[in-house]
Amino acid sequence: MRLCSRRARLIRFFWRPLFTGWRVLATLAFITLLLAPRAPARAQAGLELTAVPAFEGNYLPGAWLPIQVRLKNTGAARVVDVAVAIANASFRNTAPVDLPAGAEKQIVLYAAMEQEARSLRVTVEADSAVLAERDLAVRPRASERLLALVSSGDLRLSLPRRQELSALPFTVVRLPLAEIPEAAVGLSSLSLLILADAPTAELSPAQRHALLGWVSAGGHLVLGGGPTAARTLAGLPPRLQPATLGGSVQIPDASLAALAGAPGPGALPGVLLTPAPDARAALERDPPAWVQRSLGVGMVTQLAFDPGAPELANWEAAPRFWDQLLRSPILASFPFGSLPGIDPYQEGILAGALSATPTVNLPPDGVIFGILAIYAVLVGPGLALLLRRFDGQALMWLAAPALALVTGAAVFGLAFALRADQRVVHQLSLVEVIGDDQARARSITGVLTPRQQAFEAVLEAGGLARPVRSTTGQYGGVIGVGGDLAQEGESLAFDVAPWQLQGLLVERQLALPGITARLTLQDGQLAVEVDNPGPWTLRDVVAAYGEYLARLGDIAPGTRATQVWPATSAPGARRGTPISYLVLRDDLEAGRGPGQAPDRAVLVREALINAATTRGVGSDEGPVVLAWLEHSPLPVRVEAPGAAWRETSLLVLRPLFEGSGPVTLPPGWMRPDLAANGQIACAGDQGAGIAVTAEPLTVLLRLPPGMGRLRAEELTLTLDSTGRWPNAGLTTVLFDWTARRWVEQDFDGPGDLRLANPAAYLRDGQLLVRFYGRITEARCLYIDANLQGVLP
Amino acid sequence: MSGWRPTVPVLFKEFKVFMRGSRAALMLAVYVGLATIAARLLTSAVLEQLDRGAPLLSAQIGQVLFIGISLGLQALTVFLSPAITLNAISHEYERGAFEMLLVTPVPPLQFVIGKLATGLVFLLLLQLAVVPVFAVVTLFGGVTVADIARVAGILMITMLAGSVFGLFCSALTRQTYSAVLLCYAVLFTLIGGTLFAASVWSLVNGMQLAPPVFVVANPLSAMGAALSEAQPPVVSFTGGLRPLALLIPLTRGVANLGGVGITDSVPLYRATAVLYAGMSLLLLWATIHLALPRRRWRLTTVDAAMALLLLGGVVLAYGFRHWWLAGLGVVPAGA
Repeated sequence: MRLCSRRARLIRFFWRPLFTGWRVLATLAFITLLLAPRAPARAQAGLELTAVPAFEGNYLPGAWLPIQVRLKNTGAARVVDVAVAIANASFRNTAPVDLPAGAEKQIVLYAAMEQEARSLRVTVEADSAVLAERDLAVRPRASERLLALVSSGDLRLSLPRRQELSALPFTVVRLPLAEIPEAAVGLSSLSLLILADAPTAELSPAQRHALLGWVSAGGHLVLGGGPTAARTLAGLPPRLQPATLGGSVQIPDASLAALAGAPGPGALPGVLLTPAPDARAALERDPPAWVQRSLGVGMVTQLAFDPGAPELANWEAAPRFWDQLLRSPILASFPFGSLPGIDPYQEGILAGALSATPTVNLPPDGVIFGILAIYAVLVGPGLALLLRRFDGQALMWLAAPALALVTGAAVFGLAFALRADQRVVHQLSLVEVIGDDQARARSITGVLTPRQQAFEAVLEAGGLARPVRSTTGQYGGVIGVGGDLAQEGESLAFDVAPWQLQGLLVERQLALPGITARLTLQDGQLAVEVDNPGPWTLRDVVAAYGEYLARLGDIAPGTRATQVWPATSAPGARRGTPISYLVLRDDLEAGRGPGQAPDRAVLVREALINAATTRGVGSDEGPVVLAWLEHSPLPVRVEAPGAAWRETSLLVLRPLFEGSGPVTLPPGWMRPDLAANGQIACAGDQGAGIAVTAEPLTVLLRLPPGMGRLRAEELTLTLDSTGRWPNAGLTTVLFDWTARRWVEQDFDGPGDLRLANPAAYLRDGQLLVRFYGRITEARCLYIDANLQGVLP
Repeated sequence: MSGWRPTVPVLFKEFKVFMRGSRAALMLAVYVGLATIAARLLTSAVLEQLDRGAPLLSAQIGQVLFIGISLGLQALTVFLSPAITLNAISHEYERGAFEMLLVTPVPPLQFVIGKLATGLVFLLLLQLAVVPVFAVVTLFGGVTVADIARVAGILMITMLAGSVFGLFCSALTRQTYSAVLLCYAVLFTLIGGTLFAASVWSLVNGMQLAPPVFVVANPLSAMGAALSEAQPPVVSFTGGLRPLALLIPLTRGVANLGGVGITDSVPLYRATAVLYAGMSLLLLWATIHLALPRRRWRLTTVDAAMALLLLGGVVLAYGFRHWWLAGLGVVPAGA
């Protein structure tokens, strides 16, 4: 027994760990099998399906997620539909694929991640039969910074850990250069993308355009410097290069230290960056550690140093530095969290505007009422008088019904003939020119019908489609359409429920060559110039910035229009007045009178302008040129002949500044950047100001992009407030960029503060002013600048 | 059995007399003219308000017009139907012609039926004459044949009940002036009183819907209930002008009002139709007796026939009780 017991112990001693180890290994293998994204689905009917989500399955809810789908057809030739959907969603994103016998094809299927889901189902179907399907594990990253690293090497950044951040933690994914999506919306899940030591010359033109579109929509692109900077810049569009490269230099760490709020890592090896005219260099300019350029609502940051430099990796304050540098220029709040850019916000405005859909094609009712009026006279007194002449009044019993029947048949027949189609289709398009002959186009189509109906739409320019998010506009609610939404096809089918306004969003980046807008400076006079080489007439073209408005009228195809920039603000304008109000003031006021209703078409135009220009705090894209198009470049032609149809398309251009010489900029050109210091706006008798909630108050004033080179010769600040201006105990200081110190000003306020040496305080179009003391008594602060200077 | 001889000569005479003079022609012109003007005003008002509310489909405009015109016609019918027959008997008494009628071979039954038939046929003529106005509704669509049939049915039963009631008042008072006063006093009480009672019940009971029985006798409520079924699933009110809003007070106790309109309703009009048919038969029976100058309440073979007719009606109503009791929100046992 003892022997047996010893043997048993020995067996247990060796076998148990072995058994336990096998059990753990088996469990791990099972989990791996479950989660393995690249394992092909069980082949059915001679078809193999492999699907891999981009960004390692990470996505921001509300954005798009590209799925790499590989199909291998070992059976007969066929045409299949590949679909991707979240469970229980009312729609699927699909793509048709032609599969000859023995073919192997790879496509990118874009999934609209409209719900916070952890799995996606990809199916391959033909003739309503599912040939193969695959479930993909995905991970929602709501309110996080999804950062993609594109690098040939093993780039590692010392980023702050999740627990060290109170908000917006980082999720880092590696993205091979070849897998950068060819559609800008495919990058919409990313907040940040770092290109370092990446051979961008290998990028396809579509990938380059996608990067440009993504940045314009709110992405933050960071370009690595150092010895491989040239390789990284080689294939990028010029608009994505804020600086030109020079020779190798040592980069002082002052800018890094200032941003991190800690001692720097010491000088870093890097390259000399020469900022473009509309770019801003870091604090230390000789040489700059980085250069930034705003593009649309996004940003490009070009580093002079290698982000993977060992000095940075060993720097204690590196997490703080990256946290400060790697920020989204603008975030839009969304039911699931925050998204970079303003697309959800813009979509909300546009979808809401669908509720101002025109009612119907109203049939002409005048003829029918005319006939009825004649009939009313005839059927009574007319017939009676006629029959009395023959003494046959009793015949009225027969004559009146006969007349009623004849008239009834006539007017009912006429009514049927004049009857309008019961359906209403309304399309809004917003087309934003982003440079390099590219434009971002978003078309929202609303359909209202009395019957459950499947609609076909023709998409001449292709595009990615998804249902609009449910929203409530001024005149009611809008929900999204359902059905299988084919991507990038020429036609699209969708389902619409009865009696409910339903919307479809199609977005695409398209080529729009030649249409440009410029701000020019000639003989000290600012003017706006718009070239229209395209096939469309640009209607009611206006240029606007702040409270200024320049109307250029209609611009015919192949012509150019120029208008001198006005010296005075638009009628009725106050600080913060929406541009839509300045542009449509007369029409809007006409609809606000007693008993008046605003014209729906004007409300739709107002919404489109708001979608194009309202950015919230923190984004100043400079002057904007708005033009109405007769036809959208991204048309969605819904097959509903006879339906009431209205289309409104707005073209948005951001004029680039050109010219040199002396210039005078009246108040309104230099505007406070509230987001720079986390401030909020307040409203007072002079319009929108800065809410003063704490002391000291630091205000950053900026000139619009492109005017950063301006050398100030005379600068007068004008200060006012809604509260009583403190007449004692208030110190006003300005930041001297040259000496890098704050300089106290002799200023009692309120009123004008004329600067003695303005050039020292204005750099890259930025001026910093700070108030110490009892500034909170001012409550709502108005600050403006009158500027004279020279543009080199 | 002389009472059952054909009444053709009396009818011919009544029809000829009815169309003599300008009264009938004027009524036709006024009826059709008012309906046309109402349709025009309603159309203009709805179209002018389009920019003030949610986007409307053409069908919704058609439904608003249909509801507005139908309610207007029902209101006209309610007051016009008794007016056609209000002086039918009293006028004969006032000019002393009724005593003379007694010496003719025409029995009182034929006389009463002749008067009623003439009035009813003229009312039908009015309805037929107003049909072309509904072409305006067709222009916009949104109304089904079932909606039109329902409204036509309610109009007809209202005409029958109204003309019989007018005849009854005329026979009861034998004075046109008194008949008019009695008739319209009862009508106003019926319409206003039932709605008032339903509203008071609703107020007392925490704004709950009043039982449909409160408004079952109200002809406007019946029409309101019939029209509430013509609405689209989602009703968009057009700004300040709300023809549909008329349905709210009229259908108190009948229809549930959701945030956007009437969400569901009981078919009150069925119960109203049965009630009106029964009441018409009873009032007609009473009128035949009241029309007699003397020995009014002597029973004759006519009474036996009327009793049989009433019994048949009761049996019919019992047989179809599931259909019309639903209008009172009652589910019969075994249903």
